[in-house]
Amino acid sequence: MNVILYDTKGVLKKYMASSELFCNARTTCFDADRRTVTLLLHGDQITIELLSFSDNKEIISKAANFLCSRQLKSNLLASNKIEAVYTDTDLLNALKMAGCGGLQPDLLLVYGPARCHLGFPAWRLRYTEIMYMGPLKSMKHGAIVKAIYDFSNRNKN
Amino acid sequence: MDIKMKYKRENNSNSRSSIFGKIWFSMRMFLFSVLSFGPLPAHIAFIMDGNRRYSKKHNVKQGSGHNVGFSALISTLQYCYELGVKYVTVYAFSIENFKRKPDEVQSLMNLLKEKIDEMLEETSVVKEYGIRINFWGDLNLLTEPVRLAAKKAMAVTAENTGPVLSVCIAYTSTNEILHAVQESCAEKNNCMDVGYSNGCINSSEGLVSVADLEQHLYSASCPEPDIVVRTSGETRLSNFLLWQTSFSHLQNPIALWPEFSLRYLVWSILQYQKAYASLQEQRIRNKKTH
Repeated sequence: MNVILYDTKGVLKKYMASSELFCNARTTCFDADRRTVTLLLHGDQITIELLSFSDNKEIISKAANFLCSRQLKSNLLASNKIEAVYTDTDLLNALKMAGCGGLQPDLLLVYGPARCHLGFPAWRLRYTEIMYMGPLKSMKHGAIVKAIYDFSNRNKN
Repeated sequence: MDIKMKYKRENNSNSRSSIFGKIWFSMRMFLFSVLSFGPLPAHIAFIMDGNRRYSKKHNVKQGSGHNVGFSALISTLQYCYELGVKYVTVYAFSIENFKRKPDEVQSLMNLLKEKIDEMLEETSVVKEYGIRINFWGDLNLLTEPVRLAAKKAMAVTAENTGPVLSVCIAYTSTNEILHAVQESCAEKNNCMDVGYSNGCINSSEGLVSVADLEQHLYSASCPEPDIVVRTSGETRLSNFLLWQTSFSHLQNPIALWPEFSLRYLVWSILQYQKAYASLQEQRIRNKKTH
């Protein structure tokens, strides 16, 4: 199972890396840049990815820079200048290299004062169901279970 | 109130010529003047979902749902502009919709051409409000008659100074972002070529920034949407304005698009006004951080 935790300021990224819950070497494994952690809970593997606002437009611009500099280098080496035509796959691969080309979530649960996706990475929000759950302080286990149940029923229909 | 009502119709329409039309118009203006005590959106985006379901629900031919949907669009545009909403964007046809059955796609193309031509007629809402029309999307994917009609509509209304209607056609947000990346890279590569030939540009300069990408989006001339409404109760954005909607209020009324009427628009504005303070706070906080 894959879970993404998103907050605009990146507080979760700073907190999770130092939290005791995620520092247990037996059940936890951080990736190289400490943005993704794999947990073993009751025999199940859960991958948690931590994202923030800077993983949206800035990452897309990094990916664009990668494509642009690659094209520039090939134009310098080639005798004739060729104008590149990029595809979705080219940009997706560039996003992966820039660090944010992971899976698209099926369901996004939004906690906050208003129904708004707050800059969740655009490339990963295309066909995601967005459910508004109310303020963060009202987060309850039962409501999450109900949201997942409603999502499953909707997909069955 | 006069400032908010600046997009009134210039000419009397048939709907207002009758006594009932006049009473309905006056009631609307009163309602809008009450709404204008709170913050009003400058830009509303609509995902017009539910036309086919409307046809099924009312046991009519599939194309009829789209026709009623077009009428709902014209009414909604009129109400938005009377309220003072300057920018309206609608999701008319996604690139993904080309995967539908060929005869359905062709009939939609025919309908689009017919409605674009209708919008340019003398008695249309476009003429009465002086609307400027944009078509956002990869227009090369459209059939030639539709592409030419769209280009004509943009050319004819380019000088209009009234409200702006942007129609997303052969559009997806990821395609728009890819287009912006393509254009930005081409621009930077051209600059670098000139720089290298002059011998005065460092290879690490001239990189693509977020601002460069934003300048090459189709929506560069419009502010970000304040509200995104998707009818039919669906909760997905379906690859619509993903870059531009970071702090937009997302709404999904259960009405099908052909059923979307004034009362749903008023409710939408009221929900926006309730959420306005927190959305503004998020926007300001984000600007300070980034």
